[in-house]
Amino acid sequence: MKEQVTMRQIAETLHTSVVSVSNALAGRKGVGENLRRRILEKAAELDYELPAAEKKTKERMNTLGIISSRRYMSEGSSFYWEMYQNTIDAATRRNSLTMLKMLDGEEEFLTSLPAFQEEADGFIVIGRFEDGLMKYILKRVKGPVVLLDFYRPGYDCDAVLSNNYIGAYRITDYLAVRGHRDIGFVGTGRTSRNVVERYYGFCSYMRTHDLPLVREWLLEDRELWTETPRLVLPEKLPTAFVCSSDYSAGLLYNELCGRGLRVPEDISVIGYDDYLYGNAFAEKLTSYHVDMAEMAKEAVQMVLHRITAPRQPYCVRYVDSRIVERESVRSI
Amino acid sequence: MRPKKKINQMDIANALGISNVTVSNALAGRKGVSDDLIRKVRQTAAEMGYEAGKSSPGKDGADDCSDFVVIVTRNGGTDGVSGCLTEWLTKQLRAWRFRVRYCAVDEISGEEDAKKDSFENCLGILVPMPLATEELLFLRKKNERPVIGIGFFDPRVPIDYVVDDGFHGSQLMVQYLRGKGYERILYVKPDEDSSVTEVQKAMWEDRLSGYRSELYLETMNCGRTVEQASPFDAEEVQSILTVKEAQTYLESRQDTDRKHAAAEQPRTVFFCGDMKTACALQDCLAGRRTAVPDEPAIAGYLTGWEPDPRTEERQGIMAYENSEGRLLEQCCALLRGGCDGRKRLGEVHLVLGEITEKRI
Repeated sequence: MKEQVTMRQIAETLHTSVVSVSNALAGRKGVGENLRRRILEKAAELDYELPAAEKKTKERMNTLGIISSRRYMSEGSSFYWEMYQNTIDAATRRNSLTMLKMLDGEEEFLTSLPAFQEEADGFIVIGRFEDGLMKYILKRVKGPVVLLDFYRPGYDCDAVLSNNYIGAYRITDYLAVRGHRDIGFVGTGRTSRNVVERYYGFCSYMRTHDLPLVREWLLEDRELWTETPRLVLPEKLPTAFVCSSDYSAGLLYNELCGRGLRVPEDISVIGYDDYLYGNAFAEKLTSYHVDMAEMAKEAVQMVLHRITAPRQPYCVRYVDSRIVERESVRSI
Repeated sequence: MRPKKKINQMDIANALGISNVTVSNALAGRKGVSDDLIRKVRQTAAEMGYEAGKSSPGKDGADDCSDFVVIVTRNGGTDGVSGCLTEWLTKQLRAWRFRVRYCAVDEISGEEDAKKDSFENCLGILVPMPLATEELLFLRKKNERPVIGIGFFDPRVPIDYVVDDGFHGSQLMVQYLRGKGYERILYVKPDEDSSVTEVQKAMWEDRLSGYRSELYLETMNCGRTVEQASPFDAEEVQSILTVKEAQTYLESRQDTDRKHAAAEQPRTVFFCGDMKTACALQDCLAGRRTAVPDEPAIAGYLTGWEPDPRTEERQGIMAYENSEGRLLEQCCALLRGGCDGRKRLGEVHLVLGEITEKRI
């Protein structure tokens, strides 16, 4: 039986490194075009074959089902639309096909979806859904599920979230470093676990640094049931606000302008997401950047890993990021 | 002819697009790696001509010229939580066959080229105690190697941090206790005396925030109602006690137990912000007579680098525990630089522990 040619043999023949041979054969960057061509030619000449396991992986493309809601995905204007695009990109880089299942409004409140396609190798769920539907999806689908930007304890699946608690801590610190002590918070915790965690990150900073938590300056920004925007400013205002999302920051900005107040000259505002669409304030808003590319990459990595390792313990990965500085905060 | 580069575990990790820690575990046959991945790693290692033990003495396959790390401390600063962490970290790194050098921050800060040799060729710099912001910024500026803060977080310095996830760890504990049927979960704050460091205060605040948030989130999980309170007003659903208040509660509970049937009392547990507090409460319970021998129960919070006052006699305490192994694994992954080429911006890496229950 003919002895299998190894990468080391190819490397020695061409007086190059095994790492270069590996990169060239795998189509990775880091190898000059001339050298890459010579490596591929030599591999063909020597009848080099990929190891069996790697061949199996290369031949088989995974299919990932992406589930989201139509209400999240207005093309071009939605945070989740961009998250979806990042997910497709991440999946493509990992040699995986994607198929999208977009749920219409009524479907989200069902507890069964007869036409639901359950044949993908794994699923990524983008955005938050009602508990009944989530339990149905987790029970019905054959492949592993990863939740993206949403999590609830008790679900048997992995999740990838922005580092809500640390992110809110960071943006509160950003204001405090610039002299602000009277700081308010804007966000409706009753609608979202993410917002609750950001609120407690804000509180943690305030308590740890002995800054006052004033109830009057903790503002909700929408109605509970309809999620219609509704933000009522108090009579006396703090010098700065931490906003649980850039959307909240946009609502706050509109209210402040309505009262004749300027940002940042009168009130400083800092947001969370680094994604504000359709509001002129976006160009000015300093915000904590939610690294959607990294989150999507982690989600794809987790679901592909789970396909090969179904019995590993479930985990939640929190992706930290940085603050993007613009002009909505001034030092006092 | 160029000398042949020895293949190390990092090269294998890069070829497969996985972490070098996973490669190390796979080659060593440790738990935590699937059989398929072990096979793949070993095949690739053979393919690339990797020879175990020939590339470096490091347990994790460090490069030949970069198998040591530098631990930066404050001169004589080995007190409290940070002191325990330094000692634990040194022990763990040596067990993983890293060489360790120490450098006092006072020797290097403020001088451009001072002690440059200390960091030459090191894998990275570990900082197990919170230094001043300016000192951390200086370390970061002067070194291309990873600088990693352990057990603390300074939002003003963009280096990597590896910390116990106190916030989510506490949430996990509340979920666990609720699952065990405890209807009333009372949080007991550790006493803050003059010896408490800022790091400890921050850790305790994270844990307390986790408790607060999870109790609020439980009300959300019951489904939205018109009466759903805002988290801004959620304090009334939480019961946060000092140690003294907890002891007073126990004494009053003892009287109540005598007057009413024990079955009428809600099952109660004290969730303590650290293990020292949990043990102090257990001492208080020791002399107490009650119709329900294990009520109220006690749960504590412990990270691998905090002192554990539990002994054989204290096996009744449930605990959230964060093992040193998890923390070190994350540190090692950062020291090796990862394999995805992502430009490092400085990230807080939260490491979550698990619940252990050693009941009699």
